[in-house]
Amino acid sequence: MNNSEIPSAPEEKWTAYLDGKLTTADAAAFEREHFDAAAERERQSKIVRAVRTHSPSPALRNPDFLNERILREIAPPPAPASARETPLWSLWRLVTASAFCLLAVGAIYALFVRGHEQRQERYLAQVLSVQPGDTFLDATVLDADGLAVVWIDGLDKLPSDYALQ
Amino acid sequence: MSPIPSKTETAVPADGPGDAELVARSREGDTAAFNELITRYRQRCFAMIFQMVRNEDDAWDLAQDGFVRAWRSLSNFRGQSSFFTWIYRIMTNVSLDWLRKKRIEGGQEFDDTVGLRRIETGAPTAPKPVLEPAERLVDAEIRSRIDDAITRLSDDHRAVIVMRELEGMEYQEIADVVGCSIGTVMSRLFYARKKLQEMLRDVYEQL
Repeated sequence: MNNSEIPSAPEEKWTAYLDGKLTTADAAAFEREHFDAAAERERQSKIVRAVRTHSPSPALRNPDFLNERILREIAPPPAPASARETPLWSLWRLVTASAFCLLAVGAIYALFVRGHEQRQERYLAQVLSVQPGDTFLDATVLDADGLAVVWIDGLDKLPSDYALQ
Repeated sequence: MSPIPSKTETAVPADGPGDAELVARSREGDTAAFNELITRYRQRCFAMIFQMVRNEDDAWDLAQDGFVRAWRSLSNFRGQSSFFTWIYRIMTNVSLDWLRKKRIEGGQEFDDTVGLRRIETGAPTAPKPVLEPAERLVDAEIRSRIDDAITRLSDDHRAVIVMRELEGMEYQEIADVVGCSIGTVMSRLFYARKKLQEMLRDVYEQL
């Protein structure tokens, strides 16, 4: 050990001595100071030998399987097969098809649903705007060939904008 | 007493990429590079963990856990120490966490079952493959006593004994791994050895 690492505490000195880390002079001084130091080192040496001899580490079983398990755990999750193999133009095709579908749905809504709603509102507005001016009204219901006709007498005139288109 | 040579120097193949390159590639997500690092250090990491937990199956699982943790922490590796020292520190922490958890779950200071171990006959590291029956009995007895003694050491003492006596690491390397001063390492070694000596007095007197 160099000068900056000279142990100061007694236990550190003992460790350095037992591990043969002291210089010859320091070791001799240590042995003069501790009469049982050499015997202690001998005992320690026997224990270490016994531990090294009788406490071997077994060889790692299935080492390649260990690698495999680790790699499986750290690997990023695989992308779905279809996404991996789909070329870019197919994505564009998918986008175009989606846009067409949206347009078609929009057109159907505008023509049928929205148009129907508008017609209904208009019809209702026309009916409500009719104000008969006569005091006498007569309505006759004719039912023939499965067709019901309501015939109204007594209306003197119709509003100019009341014309079925 | 002459310590065994330090094992922390990596056995990098002469023609293969160095650890630093593999680490850099791993940090970019290259799992093949990390796989190479695993292959380089798996046996040594496993051996250290085994010496800490004293159970082969648990050591196997903990080695796996340690490498996965290392992968997830690669961004924290600054390269101030060697990759081996860094991963060894992770493995030590994994082992110490496991021991603490085991102790809490067991509700006792030490779990005797931890001392159980299985070493296959003829394993590459078996010290004496051919022993007479009487010798084998004595050998098994000594091994059991040493197992028991190491298991009874506190976690900190066990760690320094494993690293110093079994792995042959230098004080500075142990300090880097454990995250304390050299003085603390030497002090822990002193007390750990004293305890081992007390527990194994009759064993070493036979030797």
